[in-house]
Amino acid sequence: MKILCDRAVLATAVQLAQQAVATRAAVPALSCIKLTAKDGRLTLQAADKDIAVEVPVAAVEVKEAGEALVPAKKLAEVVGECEGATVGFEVVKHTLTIKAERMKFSILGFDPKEFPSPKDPVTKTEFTVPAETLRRLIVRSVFAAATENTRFAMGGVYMERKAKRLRLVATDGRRLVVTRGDCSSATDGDTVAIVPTKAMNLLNRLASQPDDAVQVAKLEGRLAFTVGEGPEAAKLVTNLIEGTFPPFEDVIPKEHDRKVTCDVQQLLASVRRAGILTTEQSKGVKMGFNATELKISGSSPDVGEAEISMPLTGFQGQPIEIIFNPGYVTEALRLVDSSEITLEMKAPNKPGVFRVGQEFTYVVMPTGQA
Amino acid sequence: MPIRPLPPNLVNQIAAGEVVERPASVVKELVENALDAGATRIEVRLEGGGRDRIEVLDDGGGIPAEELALAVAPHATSKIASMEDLLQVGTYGFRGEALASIGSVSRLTVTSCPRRGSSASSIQVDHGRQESVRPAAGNPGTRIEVTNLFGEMPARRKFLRSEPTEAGRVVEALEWIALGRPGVAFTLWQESRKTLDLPAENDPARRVAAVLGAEAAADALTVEAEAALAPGSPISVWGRMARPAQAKVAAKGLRLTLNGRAIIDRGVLHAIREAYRGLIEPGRTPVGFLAIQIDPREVDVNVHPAKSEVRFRQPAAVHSFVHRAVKAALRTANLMPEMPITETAAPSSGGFMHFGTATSRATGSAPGFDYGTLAQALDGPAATAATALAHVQPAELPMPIASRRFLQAGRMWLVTSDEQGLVIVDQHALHERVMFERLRARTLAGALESQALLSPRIEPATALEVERLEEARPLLERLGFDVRAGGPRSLVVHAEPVFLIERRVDPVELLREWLGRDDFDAAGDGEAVLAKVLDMMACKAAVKAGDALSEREIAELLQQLDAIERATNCPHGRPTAMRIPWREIERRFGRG
Repeated sequence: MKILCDRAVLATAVQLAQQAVATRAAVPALSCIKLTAKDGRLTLQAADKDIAVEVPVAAVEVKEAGEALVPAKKLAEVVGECEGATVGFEVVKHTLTIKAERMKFSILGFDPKEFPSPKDPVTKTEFTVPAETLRRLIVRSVFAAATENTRFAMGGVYMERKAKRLRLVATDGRRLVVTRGDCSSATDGDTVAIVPTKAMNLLNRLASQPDDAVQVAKLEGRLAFTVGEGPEAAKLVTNLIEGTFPPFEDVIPKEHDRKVTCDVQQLLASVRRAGILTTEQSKGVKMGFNATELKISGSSPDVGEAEISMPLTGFQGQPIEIIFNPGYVTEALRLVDSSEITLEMKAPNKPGVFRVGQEFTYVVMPTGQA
Repeated sequence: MPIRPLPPNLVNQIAAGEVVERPASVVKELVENALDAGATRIEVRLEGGGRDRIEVLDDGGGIPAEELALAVAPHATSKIASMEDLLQVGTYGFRGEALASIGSVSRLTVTSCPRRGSSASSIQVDHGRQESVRPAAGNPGTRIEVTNLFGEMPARRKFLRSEPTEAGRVVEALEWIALGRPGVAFTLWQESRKTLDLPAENDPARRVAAVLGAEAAADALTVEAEAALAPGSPISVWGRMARPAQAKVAAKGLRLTLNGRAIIDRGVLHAIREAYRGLIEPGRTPVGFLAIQIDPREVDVNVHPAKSEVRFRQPAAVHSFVHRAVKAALRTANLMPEMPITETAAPSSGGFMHFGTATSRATGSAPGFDYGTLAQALDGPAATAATALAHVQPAELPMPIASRRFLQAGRMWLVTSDEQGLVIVDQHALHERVMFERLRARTLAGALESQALLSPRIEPATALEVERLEEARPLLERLGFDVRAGGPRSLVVHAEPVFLIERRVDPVELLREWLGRDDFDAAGDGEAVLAKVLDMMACKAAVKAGDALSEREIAELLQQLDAIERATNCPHGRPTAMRIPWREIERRFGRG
């Protein structure tokens, strides 16, 4: 293998592929990136036990086709250090030599055959969604997925497609988010899957070109995403989380007694300010709503207290005081790109529901009341 | 057998069983008599650990010849005369039993010369058989000799232990008495060796140091407090308590006196241990000495013939008084232990830190430790400012570490310095301590915050866990849990503590661990049980050894070392921080 690449394009692609590599791999090949140069193109492949990605590198001149398998971390570090416009790769007997301006590195690699070859090729596309839509849905859902590895298949994001309507749902048992968007084309029928959070985050990065289309195909126990068209497309295949996603429809309140619409930025700033003097031991902020004003206060015995108020218009219902973890509120508000958000409440010990149209529904359980 | 009155000698022998158990109790009785007689120098001589011979000499008031016969008779005393006196006993003895009891179980010789008397006289009692008073030779004061202890009572004599054991108990008894009377000189001779020499002291702290030993006495804390149990009924305490690191498994390093009398009182001992809780490992007892002065009307010392147990009129008030006094002393002290560096403790190679070799600074850069940065950190402006301040207020400065530069070494240790030396902090132990204190403070303000769940979480459980759950419910509510039994084999969780979620600890895992513990107890002393669970929570939530910390996290942790009361020990009693004194480092670098 002998190739010449654009340094910046290469660096981005290597970084991306490195994200897929297992942090603690049992097999050395799973901590590596596989480079394949043929037909005038370079492709990077990386995998862990659940996810495999294929990242094309544009702007490459292939002088001699070939393959290499080298440790991902070292490759990323080296490419990150390279200077100049181009970087040259050359492989002799599993050793990858990287040449850039005034630099030369030789990384000892492995036999490329040790890299697990992708299983059955993607056959049937179930639906296609604009990259921009998919990214928006991912960003607005993964934050609520459980980080701790717990039950209820909550370590992933529930993906549901009915005809051309796509929903992503995530929950950690304390809050739940439902985001909706439209597919550009779809087969009849439904697609239902629980996708690991890591795959979602990678897909978000792969789908960075808003105009790309993302094709989604279902395989046996897996989903395959193809970002872009033809040989330049990036691919991600992920195992799915088995199990049943909790019956989330049941926890979305069907009715409410109080409702108010707020300016997103103003609400975000107020909650953030009220949370400054809270601690891990005294986390909650109290939100007191009445017809004209929202008072948010947060305090902890060993740090101090904050009291923030903001005017309200159009509050419907009786005044209410409800306590939330401020982090749960601000995380969501930061991701909303509309200027206004609606909050519905029923009682201090019942969930609050933040809504932006039909696209975003966020249910948060209050704190403080056992 | 018809009922008959017992012969007087048998009565005395039975009574002696309560007072005279072994040589140490004989010494205690005789020394206390000497103190009651106003002695300023007391000398004790033992042979065969006291089994063969005990001699107590004092320079006290002495007994006139005509009173000698009465002195060895039962229930004869010069110390109290009426019931009134008994209610406010100011002397050690008052029952008038000691000499008669000892005389009934040994061969006792009392030789005494009243200060102003011209001549001495002597009387002997051999296992209850009193002989007549004879003139004798002797200096002013009293000399009492006890030989053949339990000589006519083989059963009692058989119960005496080996010579060193009995001698050890004598030393213990004598030291204890001596702690309460620093103004009196005590010497102990065993055979012909002087084994204890306590000169009269003006400063009671010196006496405590002499008895407790140099190690425990170094940097001991002074406990001093005064209060009133009732109007006109004062209580005060003075004492020296060794630092937590000196705590011992054996309880006898902790001595108490009450109005000068050596006592054992479970309530007061408990109060002291409670004050040390969290600073010492469970099961250990702090070392030290406390002298409590109390209005004699507030205490009944006539509970036990040996008078080592007392009964307080207001035990709870005494408990809380002592507890507060000791806690206050601990709080104001800088409890960080100094690290004694021995040759073996300083690795010449390997390890993350090298002491003493000049080359290590240049070459010994173990992972995660940058000597260049260290040097920079230590020369930083904060250190200079603090040193300057130290000149102004040397003793008052606790340890303002927060403003200092620091390093994380080996992903386990935080290294910084203060005016006294290089400070090494165990990140897990400190964080655990900090969170424990915060949680405890937070529980005082009300139940911990609780995060409700969208839908109840059903978890499998053992029958034991379910059974204990009911008992644990009130405590669990304080901790922010809402958990109910969901049948004989499952728990239903409706809400979890916010704190645990924030620290990414699975609340159910913690809950089940607690419910399954061998020493599970949800009903006992509320605060102690709560402390135990909070300790578990803090331990699980704390950063672990091996966690890389950001600069901000380190800064916050070290700030808390300054802020949190007693932060120098983690809740398990392990130290959180150690200091290598500058003088030690200077010595090692050949600058000393």
